[in-house]
Amino acid sequence: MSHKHDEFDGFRREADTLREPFSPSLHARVMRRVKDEPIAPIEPVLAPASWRRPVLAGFAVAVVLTTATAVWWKSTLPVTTPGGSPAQFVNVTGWIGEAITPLREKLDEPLPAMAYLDQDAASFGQFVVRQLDPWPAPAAPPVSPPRQ
Amino acid sequence: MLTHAEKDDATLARLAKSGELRAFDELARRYQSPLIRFIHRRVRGSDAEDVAQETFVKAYRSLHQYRPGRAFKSWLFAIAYHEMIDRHRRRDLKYEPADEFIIRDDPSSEADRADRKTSLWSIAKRVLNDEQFTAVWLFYAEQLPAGEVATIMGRSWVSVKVLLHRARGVLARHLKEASFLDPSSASSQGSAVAKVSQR
Repeated sequence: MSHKHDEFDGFRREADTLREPFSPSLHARVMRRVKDEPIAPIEPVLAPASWRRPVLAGFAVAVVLTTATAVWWKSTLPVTTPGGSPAQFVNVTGWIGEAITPLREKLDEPLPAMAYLDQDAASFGQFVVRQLDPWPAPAAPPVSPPRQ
Repeated sequence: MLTHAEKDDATLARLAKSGELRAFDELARRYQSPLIRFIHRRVRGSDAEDVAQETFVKAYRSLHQYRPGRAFKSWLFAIAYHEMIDRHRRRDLKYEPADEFIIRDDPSSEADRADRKTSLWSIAKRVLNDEQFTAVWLFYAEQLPAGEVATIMGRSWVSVKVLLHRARGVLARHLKEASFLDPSSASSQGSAVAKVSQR
């Protein structure tokens, strides 16, 4: 064959010399055993290669039936939306909003340190310095006696 | 009216499937030698006949699974290959050591014996792993296309191509070394060694 490497022609030629003689005893053994075997099972009604078509057809029918049932079922739901619009279509966005509201509220709560962010830079700086190196509160200035 | 011997494999398989034993007889007759030759490359003598017998019986039992579009030979070889692997897993088989690679007609003289030891397939058996050897055998000796080899070995076409590529590399290296060590052996090993060593 032309697609095989020429360098390995020797392998092909050598393999040709390794022919096995036909063994009548082996053949007889095989045929004796095969004769006792049950005849091969009857070929299934659907040939192996043609299974795809009925399976795909069945899948398509199932999809159509499921869709039709879903549409009919939705149409039977009562209208519950306050605005009066039909409630057949589920408000998925609303559900998601309700689900994440507690989380958003939690995130909106200011952390203790973050409270200073709302104040001016000076007070925030004081806060930081106090946190790093707290010092005692300055003593009150001496009260001088009133001049007479 | 065609005799069974003149009919193609697919027709014989179809007839055998419908219960005509003579059609299977012809198929077994047709493929016994190549099958034994394939099995003998991996398995010792008496075990090889057992594997061949089991392969034919399994093939007969599974004829309903055979698709006429597929080459009967490849289908049969695939059954044999898996039978050998199964038996090897169950440790029912002893793999043939590389040094005892059997060539059916026994060498009569020392020179013949030396030739046998340096035969290409003996070298291949010695230097390739089991899967590489099987792929090379099916590709070169049985002259099956890579796709059929892949089906027999239960691998993808790409992995068989890779397997063959690596096997060729290993073989080329070893054959080159062999001819370098003993230049006179190159001529006895045919064109393969000579051509490879020239590269």
